Amino acid sequence: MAHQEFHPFLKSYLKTGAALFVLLGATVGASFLPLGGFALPVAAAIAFVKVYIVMWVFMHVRKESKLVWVFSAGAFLWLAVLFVLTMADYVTRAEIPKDEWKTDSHAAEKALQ
Amino acid sequence: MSAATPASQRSLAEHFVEVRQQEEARTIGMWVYLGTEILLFGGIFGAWAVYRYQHGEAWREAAHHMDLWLGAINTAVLLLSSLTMALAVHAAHALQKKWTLLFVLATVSLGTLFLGIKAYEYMQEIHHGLAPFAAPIPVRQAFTPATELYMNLYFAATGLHAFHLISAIALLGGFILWILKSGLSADRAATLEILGLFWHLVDVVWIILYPMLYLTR
Repeated sequence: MAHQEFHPFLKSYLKTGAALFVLLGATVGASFLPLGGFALPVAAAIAFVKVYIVMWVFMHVRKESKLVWVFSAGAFLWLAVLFVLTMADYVTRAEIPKDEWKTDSHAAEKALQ
Repeated sequence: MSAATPASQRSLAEHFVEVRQQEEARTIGMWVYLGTEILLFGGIFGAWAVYRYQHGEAWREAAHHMDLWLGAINTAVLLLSSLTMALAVHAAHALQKKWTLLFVLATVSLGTLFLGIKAYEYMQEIHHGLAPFAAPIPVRQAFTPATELYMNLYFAATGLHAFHLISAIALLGGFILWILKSGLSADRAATLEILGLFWHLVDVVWIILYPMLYLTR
């Protein structure tokens, strides 16, 4: 039984591997382009596509039940929470001038008005 | 689960009703563990995001000192190892002992190659005074606090990743000995599937670390 079943899978795995190598080439190539502020989003987007392909095909998530989907996606949901809440803090800190914060206890209220 | 092995060939633990339920339980259990691993590295990813936001220019400058091509070769090596790992799991479910051993061995070899290249890279970085903890005092003074932070995060992130890869290589090495000693069965194929999930996760972490540390220049 084994031989007939083995080859179709071989083909789909090899295609997946080839796709991952193309994406690696793309991300290295993109790092040499003058993308400015877009360099980071482009690198992140390619990385996420690669992660998705590895999880979906190599980690067999596509063949698993919906419950496994929830658990595998759950980790990334928590990761997103970690990023959004942390960055929400750091990105908005500059709105309160540092020195005023030290000397004026109502600086936070003023800055938000 | 890969459907290649008939459920009738599996042993069923007494607290499960059927093999499918048993397989799903262990797959979910593994994913819960992998979730904790993703969040463990998530702390490093989060720290990177914060410092990159605070020290954008200094960090872009520091990233220029990374060897982009060694990193790219290592990414290719790990991607290839994920392919051989997936093939090993498939061969195991088809109960093809020879192919299973061959693909697991290829996976372990590629993992070891990655560690070798990484060790060479570390040596190069230490040699060029890029490692804050190993640099002589005069070289060390050339670091700004922000670039020192970058290099320390680089060594912490890649070191933690290398530790995971060493664990994964040890687990697969144990699997090879197990199969050589007492043969391949449907149950052992299911075990390899779980070990494979861990291997792929180590690959997934590197897929994120590579652009983060080498390419955001």
